[in-house]
Order: sequence, then C-alpha cells, then structure tokens
Amino acid sequence: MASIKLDDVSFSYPVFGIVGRSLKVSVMRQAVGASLSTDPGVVYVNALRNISLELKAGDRLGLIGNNGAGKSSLLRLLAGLAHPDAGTLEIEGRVVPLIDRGIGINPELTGHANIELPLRLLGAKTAEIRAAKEEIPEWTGLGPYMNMPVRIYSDGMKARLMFALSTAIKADILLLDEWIGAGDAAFVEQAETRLKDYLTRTGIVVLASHNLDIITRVCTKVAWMEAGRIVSVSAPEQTIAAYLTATRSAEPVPA
Amino acid sequence: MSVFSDVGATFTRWRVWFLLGNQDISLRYRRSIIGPFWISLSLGAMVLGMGLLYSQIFTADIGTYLTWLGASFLVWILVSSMINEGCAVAMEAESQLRSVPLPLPVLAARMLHRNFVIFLHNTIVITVLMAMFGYRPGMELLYAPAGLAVLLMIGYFATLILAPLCLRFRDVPQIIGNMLQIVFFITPIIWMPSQGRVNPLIIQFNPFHHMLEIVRAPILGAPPTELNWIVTLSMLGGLMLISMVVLGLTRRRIFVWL
Repeated sequence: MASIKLDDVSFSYPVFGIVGRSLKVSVMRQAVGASLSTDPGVVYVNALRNISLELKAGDRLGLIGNNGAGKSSLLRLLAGLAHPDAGTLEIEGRVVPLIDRGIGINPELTGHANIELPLRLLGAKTAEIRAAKEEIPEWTGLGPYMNMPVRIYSDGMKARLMFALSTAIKADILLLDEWIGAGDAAFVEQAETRLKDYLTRTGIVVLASHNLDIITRVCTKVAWMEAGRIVSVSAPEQTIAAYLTATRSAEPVPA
Repeated sequence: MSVFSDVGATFTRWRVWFLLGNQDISLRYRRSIIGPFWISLSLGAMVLGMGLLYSQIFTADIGTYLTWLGASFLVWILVSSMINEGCAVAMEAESQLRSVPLPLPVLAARMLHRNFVIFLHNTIVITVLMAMFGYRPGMELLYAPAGLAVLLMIGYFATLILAPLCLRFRDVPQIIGNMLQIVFFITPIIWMPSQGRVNPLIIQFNPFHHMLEIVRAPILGAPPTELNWIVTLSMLGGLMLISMVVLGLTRRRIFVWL
C-alpha cells in the first residue's frame, strides 16, 4: 500500500538577499534594466539533481551524506512541503513528517491541551486523537504534570511528550530528520521499545541522520547523497563503508 | 493536490484552523483577568473619548455622532485587521509551514476566526456604549449578518492573494499598511457623509465605504443600498477569481519563499 517513486527529480530553491525580497526594487529593475547592479538579489541552490528512487512497504531507507548533500531537501519533497522543478514524484500512503518535532506545542497550555493540535497538524483523525488523549498521559508517566503548562517542563519531560506525540499515529510512510533521542536512561529504553514497535507497524521509513550507528541498526538500505545526487543505494554496511572511505580520504583544504 | 483541494482543506481540516485561532486569541490575553474584553474596552474608551470631542468639532449631536463612530470603528477594525493580518498569514506560520504541509486557505481561515471572535467581543462593548447614548437597534439589524458574511469572504479571498505576495516581497505589508492609513482618512469613518461638504463621488467610488456600509448601515437602522451590494459582491467575485489564479501559481512556491 505504501510506495514512493521518484523519477529524475530535480529541485532548487532561491536564497534571497535583502534586495531580492523587495517589490519596489524588483519593479524598478524591470523598468530600468537589470544590468545596473551587481547584486543579483536572488541566488539559486540546486539542492537535488536527477534523483531516481523507488521504495515499497518494508523498506527502511537511511540517508547519509555531508551537510548540504540534499538529505533535508529530499525529505521535504517527500513530505509534500516542497515540489520538484523537474521529474515526477509519486507517493501512495499516509505520510507522517517528523522533520521538526514539537510543532504545534504551545508552552502556555497544559500537557493535556497540547495533544490535539500537534496531532491534527500531522493529519490525525478524531478517533486517533481520542485514543492518544488516553494513551499518552499514561505512557509518558508525566502524571500530575499533564495538568500543568508545558512551559514549566524540564527538557526531558518535553522530550517525552514530543516523543509520545510523534509515535501516536499510524503512518504508511514515516519521514525522520535525525533520530528521536534525549531523556533519562529509563526513558531511553522505554522509548526504544515503543519506537521499534512503532516502526514495525509503519510501511516505509526514511531516516536522514549523521549517526551511522543508528542507521546501521534501523535501516534496510542506505542512500549516500552528495551535492544533490544519490551516489549509491545499497545495503547499510556497504554504503556506509564506501562513504567513510571516501570522506576519510578526502583531501584536506590547503592552508 | 490542487487549488481546489487546498480550498477544500478549509472544510476538511477545520479543526486545525479552529484550534490555531483559539490559541492565537488565548495567547494574546494570557494571564489577564478580563481576557479578550481588554481590547474591546480600550476600543470603547477610544470611541467614547473621540465621540465626546469630535462631536463638538463637527457640531453634531453627541448621540448621533457617537453611534456613528462606534459602528464605523467596529466594522473598520475588522476590515483593516483582516487585510493587515492577511498579509502576514504565511509569515507567522513559518515554523509550521517548514515542517508539515498546511494549505494557505487553512491559515486564512485561522486569521478570520480570530478576527471574528474579536469582532464579537467588540460588538458587545460597543453596543453597550452606544446604548448609553440612546442607541436602539431596529429590524434592519437582521441585514448585518449577511453583510458580515460577505466581508469575511472578502477577507478570505484577499488573504489568498496578499499572503503569497507578502511572503515573496517583504516590503508589501508595509505598503499595504500605509495604504490602509490613507483609506482610513478618505473613507467616512470619523466623519459623516451627511455633513455635506465632501463631493459624494469620492465616497461612492471608494470600495471601502461600501464594505463598511453593508454591516454599518443595518446597525444604524437602514438596509444597505443596492450600490453597496453591487460593489461588494463584485469585489468578492473578482477576488475569488484572482485568488484562485494566484493560489494556483504560488502554492508550490510557498515553502521556498519562507
């Protein structure tokens, strides 16, 4: 049921300087001619080039690569936040984007009050929210703190709430930007159990991470990205080994 | 995924804008005792103060003038807030728009919801104030909800045009704000058209006058004129068409413009 298919997808995004954001300046340029100023106002970054990829249910894809390789851009395309400039993107199944956890949480409201909106933003249905409202307070173990504003929570408590919210709704396709972590030792174990259980019920998982250990443990295949292209896609050990060899033997920048 | 499913999300994902809008309102008044009435009371104080002073400047009857001023401000604040906030609708939701897909129409509805709630609070305070100066509503008041519905829809479709424009060009909100300040003075809000010395064409060619009239006139005891409806409904139709085109052109670019 869940499937992802990218065919020769390219994506670029603009980076605006102050000048590039001004309507007045843009209008004047049109009128006067753009050769007057050396400041282009807008620079385009080619984030993804000719990406082709196919994933089906059961695939857990890890994305590795240096900063700027295009991992986040690819996740955002899969999430439906950005759209390709060229190529086709076909996605089937319910996508839960966990690119930025803590979305929709209002620190002024209580733990209880902070369950519905984050889940609604992720696309949850009413029945799922009802179930979550019962299950989350119990699982997080926050007890009386659920009735207090999130503003007073410790980082660990916030992490527990966000983690519980992230794993509350069933996804056909799960997109993760970095692994879910943080919290005290007892929680980490509890979290791992819940997460593993959650992943078995998810069709496709795409995880972008710099933590190669996690990638090896969780993913069934790994895509190595560099400068907007996929260099290779294969089994985790192979790809990671190739990636490490390439980065370690990279020439240091001359002084 | 298309323009129509985006607009349809206003209905299918109504809880998202309803919850976000409620949060916006509660955040504005958190830890205050009287809550949203805070803004309404300061509006009431301003209308009272201006009413007392300007009725003397215009040599008008205090009761007539104050009810005029109250009703004018009540509707003007809704109109100008919808336009100013409509510009910012995408920018204020930047963190959500970077993480989860959230169609622009849903954000427009959020803005309308919070402005509508504030409008209701303002109505209560302004009505009490006007009543103290002899105002009594008539049957014509029943026209007001229709006018209000048209105004809200105008705000909705105008937002779908303004929000992407302001997101891409960050000086536009300022330009819009300045224009609204000028509109405030050339539209009958503080001054009554019946005071005669202004060329009536200036009033009738001003679309904002008609937008105010479809809600204000019923409040003050007269149904809106045919011309009021013609102008506002034409505006609504035009905005609907233009907004669908703009939405179609810009919806894929919202993320990269953030």
